[in-house]
Amino acid sequence: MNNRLKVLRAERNWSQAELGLRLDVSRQAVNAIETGKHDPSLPLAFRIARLFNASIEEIFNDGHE
Amino acid sequence: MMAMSEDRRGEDRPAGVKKVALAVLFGMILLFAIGAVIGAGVAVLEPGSDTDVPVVALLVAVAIAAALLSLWGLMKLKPWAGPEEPMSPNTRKANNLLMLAGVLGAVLGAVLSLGAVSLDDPFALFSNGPMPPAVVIPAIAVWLLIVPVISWHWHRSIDEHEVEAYKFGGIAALYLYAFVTPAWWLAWRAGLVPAPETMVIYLAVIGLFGAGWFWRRSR
Repeated sequence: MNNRLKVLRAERNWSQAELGLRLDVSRQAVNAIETGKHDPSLPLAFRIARLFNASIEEIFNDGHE
Repeated sequence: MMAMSEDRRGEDRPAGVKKVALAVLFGMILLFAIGAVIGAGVAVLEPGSDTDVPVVALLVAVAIAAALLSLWGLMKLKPWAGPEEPMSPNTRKANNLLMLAGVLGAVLGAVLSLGAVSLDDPFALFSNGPMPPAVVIPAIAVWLLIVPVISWHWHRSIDEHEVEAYKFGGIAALYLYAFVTPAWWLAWRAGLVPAPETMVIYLAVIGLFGAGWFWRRSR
C-alpha cells in the first residue's frame, strides 16, 4: 500500500523515532509502514490520520482510485 | 500527546557519581551471585562430595534472587546508555524486557554449561547425560516462573509490527516442527537415522523462530 507518511513526517521535521513516539510504536514500525512493508491496522491508521489532521484516504492509497 | 521536550528530558544527562557507584555495586553483586551459583554447582559435583543439596539449592536460589535484583537495578540505571532516540514508554518497556530476557538466558546458559562441563564432557549441556540437581532446579525455577512473567509483560508492551514479526517467526518454526519431527520419527522406525533428539529439534525450531522474527522486524 502506498502512503504519504514520509512526506508528512518530513514536513514537520520529525525523525522516524519521533513519529513512533507520537504513535506509540517503534521506529522500526514507522520505517516498515513508510516503506510499504507493513500495512497498519485500522486503529493505527486512524491514529496516524488524527496526528496529521487528515483522512486515512489522504495518507494511504491502495492503488484503486 | 507527549511533548518532545518532555520525552527528551534527561537524555544527555551525564552519569553522576552516585549512578556510577550504584552501577559498580550492582555489577559486583551480579558477578558474585553468578560465582556463587557456579561454585555451588561445582561443589555438588565434586567426587565424594557430601554437600547438603537442599541447603545448596536454597543458597543458589538466594544468589539468583540477588542476581535478578542487581540486573533490575542495572536495567533501571542503564550505565551503558548514551544519548537515546525518542521512544514511546511501551517501546522502551518492550526493549528493556527483551534485553532482560536475553541477559537472563545468557546467565542461565552459562550456569548450566559450567555445571555440565565439570562432568568432563565439553558438550554435556547438549547431551542426555545427568546434571547436578543443585544447578538444574534453580534453572528450571527461573525458566518456568520468571521467564513467562517477563514474556507476558513483553507481549503486553509490543506494537503491531512486532506482533506481526513474532507471528512470522512462529509460523515458520511451527512448519519446521510439523514437517521435521514426524519425518525423523518415521525414518528412525525404518532404521534409516538415529532416534529423534528432542533438544536438536527444539534448538532448530527456536533458531528458525528467532531468525524469522528478527529478519521480519528489521528488514
